[in-house]
Amino acid sequence: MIIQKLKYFLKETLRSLWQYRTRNFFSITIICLSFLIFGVFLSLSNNLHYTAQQLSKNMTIIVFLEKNLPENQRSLVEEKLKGSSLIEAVQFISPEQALEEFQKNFPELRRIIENLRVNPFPSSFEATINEENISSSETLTFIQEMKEMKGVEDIQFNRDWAEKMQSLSRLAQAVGFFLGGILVLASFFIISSVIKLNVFARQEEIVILRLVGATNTFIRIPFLLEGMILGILGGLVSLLLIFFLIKFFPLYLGASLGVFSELINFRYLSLSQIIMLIATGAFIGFSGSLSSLARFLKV
Amino acid sequence: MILREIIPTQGQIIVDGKNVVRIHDHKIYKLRRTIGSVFQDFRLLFHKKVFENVAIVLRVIGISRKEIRRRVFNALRIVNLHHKMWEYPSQLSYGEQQRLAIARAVVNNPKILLADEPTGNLDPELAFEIITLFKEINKQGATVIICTHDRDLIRHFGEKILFLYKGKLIRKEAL
Repeated sequence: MIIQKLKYFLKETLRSLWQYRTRNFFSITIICLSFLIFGVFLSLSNNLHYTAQQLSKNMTIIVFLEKNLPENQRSLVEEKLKGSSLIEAVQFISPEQALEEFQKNFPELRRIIENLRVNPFPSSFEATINEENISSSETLTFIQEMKEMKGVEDIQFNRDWAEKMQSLSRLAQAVGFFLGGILVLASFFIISSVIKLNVFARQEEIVILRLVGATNTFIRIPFLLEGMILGILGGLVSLLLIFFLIKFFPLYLGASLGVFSELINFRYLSLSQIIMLIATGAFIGFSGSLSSLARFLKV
Repeated sequence: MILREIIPTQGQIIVDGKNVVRIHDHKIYKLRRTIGSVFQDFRLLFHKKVFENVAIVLRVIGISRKEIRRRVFNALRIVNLHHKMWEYPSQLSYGEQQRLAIARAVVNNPKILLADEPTGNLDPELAFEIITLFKEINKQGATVIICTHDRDLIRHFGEKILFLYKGKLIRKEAL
């Protein structure tokens, strides 16, 4: 009996979707565009977050030592670094190793160094920080302590990039939620209006159903299903468009990405985000229909 | 008012021992399922086939598909429309549309059958057939209430006759 009723509801819903296909098409398009904007920002936020994570991996602090530092003083610095729970690994870099590394990385500047005739690089320790401690305040306090230590000339800690990426990611997410929120609200009113028009168009049928003893639920279900299908279709089409955008946008950017191409990996939305987007579509459709039915369908 | 499409400003309407005015909005469908109605303007679903126009009454109740087929076929056979079951109302003549409305009204064996000018658009022969049908339904236990201007019809069919003029009861007769 329930299956028979469900079949009837589905048939009625599909009939209405087809009968008023032009207005339904426009409402799906608008829902799709709203979700597309939201989805693009969500994807951007995902990518920035991923990039920030990549940058954060193997984040090191470089402790530059004073010149001609006695051996015992150097050992003290090394012990202090190795003794910290924040540090994963410590490596000593002698001035010679630093020079060699520099010449390898920047061969075009080799001449300048040769002209100096002296090795300008100080000895240093390169310490890798635990991933989970990169943004912690403990790390900052530790760096401050190290800076004040005798024999330490300077400390370099480039976590700015990672932090900037993280905050950009949060910004993209916030913009996405803000714009998406407004557009999703607009979708709600659009679905509500479309269902309202459909209710008006089927007023005569509704009257007949009422007079032959249909319950409120019986009359409402096809309209609610219709709204939900509109919302879900809008969500699905937007997911498809986001997929193509992510697939082809890097190709469009091509060589202009340069060195960043290794770092920026365009990723699709996560499964939970996909489900959230579709569920939001269904919810908007359902609530949009419900609100218009409550106002315009006197049963 | 019997279907509670409109609520009376004063007085009571007692149907099957219940005051229609006092029935809760959410339960009014139960009353409507016991009443079959034939409207003057037929009120057919023109985008649905003849079969579906009659079946809708049973669908809202949740009757099985097999039973729906059986009852709809019987109702259409009574009004002699069973051979046009898969046509659309727009393909039917005016009289056939009226008979379709009657089939819809009787398909659920209603306790009360309301008919507003049921023979208004029919030729005398068909009108007589319809009235005979109503008499048959009445014999099976349903109360049949017909609203009409046709005095011949009243003479042939009438048992209890109420004369209304400008919304007021002016005379009662029992034949």
